[in-house]
Parts: sequence; C-alpha cells; structure tokens
Amino acid sequence: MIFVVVPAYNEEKSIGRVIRGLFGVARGLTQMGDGLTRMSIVVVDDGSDDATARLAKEAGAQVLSHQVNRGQGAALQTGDEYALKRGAEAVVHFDADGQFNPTDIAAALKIIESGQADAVFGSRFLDNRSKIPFIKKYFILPVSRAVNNFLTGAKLTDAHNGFRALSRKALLKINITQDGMAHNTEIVRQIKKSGLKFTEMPVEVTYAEYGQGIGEGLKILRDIIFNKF
Amino acid sequence: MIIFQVALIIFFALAAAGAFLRHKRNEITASRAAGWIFFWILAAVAIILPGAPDYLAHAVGIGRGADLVSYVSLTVLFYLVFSLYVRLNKIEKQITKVVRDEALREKGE
Repeated sequence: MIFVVVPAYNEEKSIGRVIRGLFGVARGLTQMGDGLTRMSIVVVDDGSDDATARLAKEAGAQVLSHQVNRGQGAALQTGDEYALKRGAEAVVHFDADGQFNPTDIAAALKIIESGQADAVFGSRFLDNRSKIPFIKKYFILPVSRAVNNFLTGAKLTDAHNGFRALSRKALLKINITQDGMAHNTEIVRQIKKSGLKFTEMPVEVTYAEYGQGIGEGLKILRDIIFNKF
Repeated sequence: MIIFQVALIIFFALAAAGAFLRHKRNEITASRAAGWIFFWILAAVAIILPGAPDYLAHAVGIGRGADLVSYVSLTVLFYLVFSLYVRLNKIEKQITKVVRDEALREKGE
C-alpha cells in the first residue's frame, strides 16, 4: 500500500480538487497494473478552523486531525507514523494547496519500485515546467539552496520542495522533530546521514501564491540553528 | 539621598514583597522567591552604597561601577532569554506529541 500524506492547514479552497486529482492518479496506476498496490490518501488536518477536514472526508480521503496547529513538519510526521503503522511500502508527501501536479507521483514511485533510490526529492529546476517568480528564482532560492546544501551535506538543486517519495526503509530512518518549515532541511539531512540512495526528479509547481519569502527563510534558519543546542 | 535612589529603593522593596507574596500564593517556589528577593536586596545595596559597584569594578579590573553593572546585567539577561527559548522549544515539542497522539488515537491506533 502506498500512502499519499497531505498536510493541510486551512486549505478548504483547494483540498477537494487536490484529493480528486490524487484519486485520479491512483485509478490510473491500478489500471496500468504497474505492480504497485493500492494507494491511500491521508490528509493531516493541522488544526484548521475552516472546512478542510470535512471537505477532505467528503472527497474520500482518510483524515487525521491535529486539535491545534503544529506546523507542516509535525503534520507530516503524524501522517508518516500513521502510514508506517498500517504497513506502508512507500509514502508520498504532497502539498494541499494545489501547486503540485499529481501525475508526477507515478514517476516518483517508479524510481522507488525499481530500487534506483529509497528517497526521491522533487525539484522545480530540473525541467522548465515550473514558472517561478523572478525574485524568488534569482535571489531567494539560490541563497536558500546554498545554505541548505551546507547544512545537509547533500547537493540538491531545489532548496525546499514539499514533494517527496520515500520507501519504507527511508521512512524508518526519518523522524521529523522540526514542526515548522525547517523539516525540509531536516529530512534531507537524515536521509543523507542514513547512507540510503536518494535522487531528485523534476516536478511541476504552479504558483498561485508566493510561498516562503525571506522572512520565513530566516525563521527556518533560526529553528535549525537552535535545534543544534 | 537623591530622589532617584529613593524611588528605586521603593521599587525594589515592592518587587521583593511581590516575590514573597507570589510564593505565599503558591505561584512560585521558595527557592525562586528567595533568589529574586536576594537579587532585589543586592540591587538596593548597590544603590544605597554608591561606591559599592565602583569598588567591585576596580576589584575585577573595570573602570566604572556602572559599566560592571551593565556587563553583568547583559550577560545574565542574554543567558536568561536563551534558556527561556530552549524551554519554550521543549514545551512546543511536548504539545506536538500530545496533539499527535490524540490524532492517531482518534483514528483508532
């Protein structure tokens, strides 16, 4: 069983659409008889105060609910633990805001299945599908990338991408303690340390909203540094 | 004594009394109350004996008493803020653990 973990905080506007898109991919995979077993969609409602949880349930997803908001890292860890307990063979991390393209999941799972890697990290920079806002692309992201590569020891092309596919082996090596956005760096660092094979693959990101700016980037850095104590 | 000294001493006395009262109301522990009362007494001494900080300062090789007070205060404050932050971090992690366990339990784990 593959679990798609979708951390969500006040995403009632997009969650229904995202889940339906994911189910579409799940149906496609089963039809292709890819040797992949069934796909389960798990939404972790991170203390939303809108209709996210209800809409997710109505769209057919499994819903875990945090009573108060803890952060995307915390939501992913909850989803990961749930998936592991249910015998997940692999887990995909997928954002709830509709920025990701669900068809990218098939390619990611193929890499895991073939044994090419235990962890697949999405990157906006490996192809031209993502239209990244100017300042973000030429100023914010290059800096974040350099900082990230220094902190994790891994040379990735994307500083911070919520799209991930992890085999069960990789999942067992990960323990997300960074509740906020710093989990991106933490996960990569733990995978690198584990010695497991990891790789990047191109994913398509559509920007309706800006995402993390400089202020949030500094917050992430602060969290990482203080965590070392 | 000048007005500023008098005003400060009154403030320190009130602060020390406040610490004592909070202990009586079980809001803080005896050792914490004692610590703060000791601190306020020290502050009052530094004010009443204007030469005291200067004396100490010269003893450790610093020019002025006021400078010594600044250095020590800043150091203590930075350390306090840092340990508060570490403590907050720990509490955040505990909250997440509780929230996560409840979320998983609700789902029948």
